[in-house]
Amino acid sequence: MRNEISEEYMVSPYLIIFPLYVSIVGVGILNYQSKLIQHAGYNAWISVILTGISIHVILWMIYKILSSNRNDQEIISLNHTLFGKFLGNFVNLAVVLYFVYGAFVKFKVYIEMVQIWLFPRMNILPLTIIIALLIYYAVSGGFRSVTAIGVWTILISLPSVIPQVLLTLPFLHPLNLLPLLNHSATDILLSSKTMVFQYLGLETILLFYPFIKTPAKSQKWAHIIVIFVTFLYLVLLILAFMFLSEGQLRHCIWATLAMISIFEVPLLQSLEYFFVSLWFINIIAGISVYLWVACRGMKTAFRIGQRPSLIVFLIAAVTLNYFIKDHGRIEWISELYGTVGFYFIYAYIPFMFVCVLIRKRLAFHFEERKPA
Amino acid sequence: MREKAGIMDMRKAFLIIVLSTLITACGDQNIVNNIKLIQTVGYDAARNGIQSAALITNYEEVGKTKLEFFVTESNSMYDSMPRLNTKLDFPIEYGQLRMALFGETFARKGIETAITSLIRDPKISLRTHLGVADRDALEILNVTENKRDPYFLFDMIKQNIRSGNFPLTNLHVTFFNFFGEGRDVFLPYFTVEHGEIKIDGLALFKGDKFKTKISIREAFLLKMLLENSKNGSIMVPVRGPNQNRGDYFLMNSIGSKSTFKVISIGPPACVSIHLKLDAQVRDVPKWINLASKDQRVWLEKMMEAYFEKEIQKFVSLCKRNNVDPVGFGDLIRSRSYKWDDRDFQDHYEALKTTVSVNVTIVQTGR
Repeated sequence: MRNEISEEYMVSPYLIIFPLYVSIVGVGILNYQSKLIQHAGYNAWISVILTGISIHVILWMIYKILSSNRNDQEIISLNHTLFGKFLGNFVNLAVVLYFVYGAFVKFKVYIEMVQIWLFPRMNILPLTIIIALLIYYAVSGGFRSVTAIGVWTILISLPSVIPQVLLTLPFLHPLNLLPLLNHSATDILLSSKTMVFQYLGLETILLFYPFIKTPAKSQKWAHIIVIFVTFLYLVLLILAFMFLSEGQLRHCIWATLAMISIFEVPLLQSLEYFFVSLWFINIIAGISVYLWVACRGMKTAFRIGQRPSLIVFLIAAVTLNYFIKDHGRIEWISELYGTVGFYFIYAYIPFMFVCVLIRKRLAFHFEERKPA
Repeated sequence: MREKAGIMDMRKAFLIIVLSTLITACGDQNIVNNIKLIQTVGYDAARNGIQSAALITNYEEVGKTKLEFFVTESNSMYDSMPRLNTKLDFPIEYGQLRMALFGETFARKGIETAITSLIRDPKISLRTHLGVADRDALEILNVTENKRDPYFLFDMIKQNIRSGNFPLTNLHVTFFNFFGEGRDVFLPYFTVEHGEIKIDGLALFKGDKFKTKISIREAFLLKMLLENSKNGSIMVPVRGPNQNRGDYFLMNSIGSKSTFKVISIGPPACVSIHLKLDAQVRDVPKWINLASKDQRVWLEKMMEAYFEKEIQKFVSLCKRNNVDPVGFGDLIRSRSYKWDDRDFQDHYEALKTTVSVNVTIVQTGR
């Protein structure tokens, strides 16, 4: 069932922080604040902490699922073993399409941001084709090259975000955070649900797990990156809350960019333009991880080569991108992705976790051991 | 085999590099000579709609700038840019807009459409300054035209915030106050004196409507309440124990810090204000000897009493006009679990404040 993966394609355990970071953090980090306050208002920072904790539980489940059997080290083969050939392949197709969908959402949302902030009148087709070629180049290099882009992303994008955001300090009103608890628990939980969208991308580990040398050692790093991302979201959220009044944040879609744009340096008066351009590499890296994972899924499930499926996915993305222009539809597409992702994380993964537990229990009960 | 793959990779990398240079062709190019950069705009109420005035610099040669001045009338705010376009030889760009000035009648009618349309455009910097003129904005802009500097008003406000009596204000702060609950907008207020533009204090708004103006002295009090009032200055009256005519001396603020405490959230609410002020005093009347400690303490006490009285007066001026530039409403909101803006407004007049000021004279003149 399983293809042996030669060690030259594998990465060291600590390197998984890079593909995980780029697949979790996307355009959402620039505008999640205004979506988050719809229910819990300025108490929404509690929601971020709650979601962060639940994501740790899910991550723990993912590692339990993946390490349950030495033979099936990824979700695609596991679906086969658990659900049989027909049903298993059906689930696998859904999983692959889910990742392709995720890649498309990242792609589309970034293109829309470029259109809003940089070039409202630009012809978008040539740009998307060039992005597609870049992604093709990155993904066809294999998992190692996908990871390497992640390294560059962190090196380039993080140092450019943190100092810029700190420049808002003279404009902060800590009073905005008070009163600390004036929303009901339901509201806070509803906001937590919105926040889940910002953590989607974590599940890519279900497929690239066998590409980690000594996978068990990587769990620590996966938890570290989730803690880091939660911290980043929390800091940006609290800064945005202190920087913008509540009514203002409801009118302000790109809160993170608004914080950056308050600062001016000589020659570069609008730093947000610089920032939107830098974000390009983050998006390329994120889409690359998603598409690599989808192609890998196609290969293990249906024995279709990675290159042909990658080409098909990219052509589909460029074509769809060309035909979908209306902002309302883009919103709808990403909201649907959020809902699907929510159930993927909070229904599918716990379900697999239970299945794996039952299977283990049964195997133990009948004292039947498969040949290793 | 491996070498061949290496050559393939190099070729691919080369292809990508060549292709990425093509991206530059995707953007739209703007050369500074082929666009009209709007740098300052003014809005006035006209008979049917609004009248907008735009200051545009013509960059012809290095070091030589010529200001161009265009006035358009249109039915609504949103129409003013396209209308202006019909008078120009090159397309408008307003990414360099740094100042928007509202005429008095326009400001009294409401500036909501103006500021929301400014804020919606991502091209417009949040550091843009807004201001209110005591007459038509057009007249004030006409005066700046002679200055040959499109950013004259902008620099004037910036300078007064940094080294004068103005509290920090710009498009972001205005937007913050406008949409924030329990706060009201304040903007610089301009007038003309001897053919020169002069900052004449602050315009206080209720909602989006210009309500009243305060003097530059009161602007300093507001600055002390809102932030560190560094570099602000004010004339303080002083009167000796056996004098019948008072003198004045100049006080410079070295730094200040205000703390607000909510005593009861009411209604009517009660707030206590504590202000710590480090001041530099120069040019005191010669009967005061600053070298003597007793005299200095006496002067500090006198200044404390003066500021307590002035701040109380300023707060009651705000209450009388039903404007809240200090953000008392926001303060009460942050302490109450259920907060209703309208409910607070109804009891705003009855808001009680206690003020205590602590002045330290840290430096005196040579």
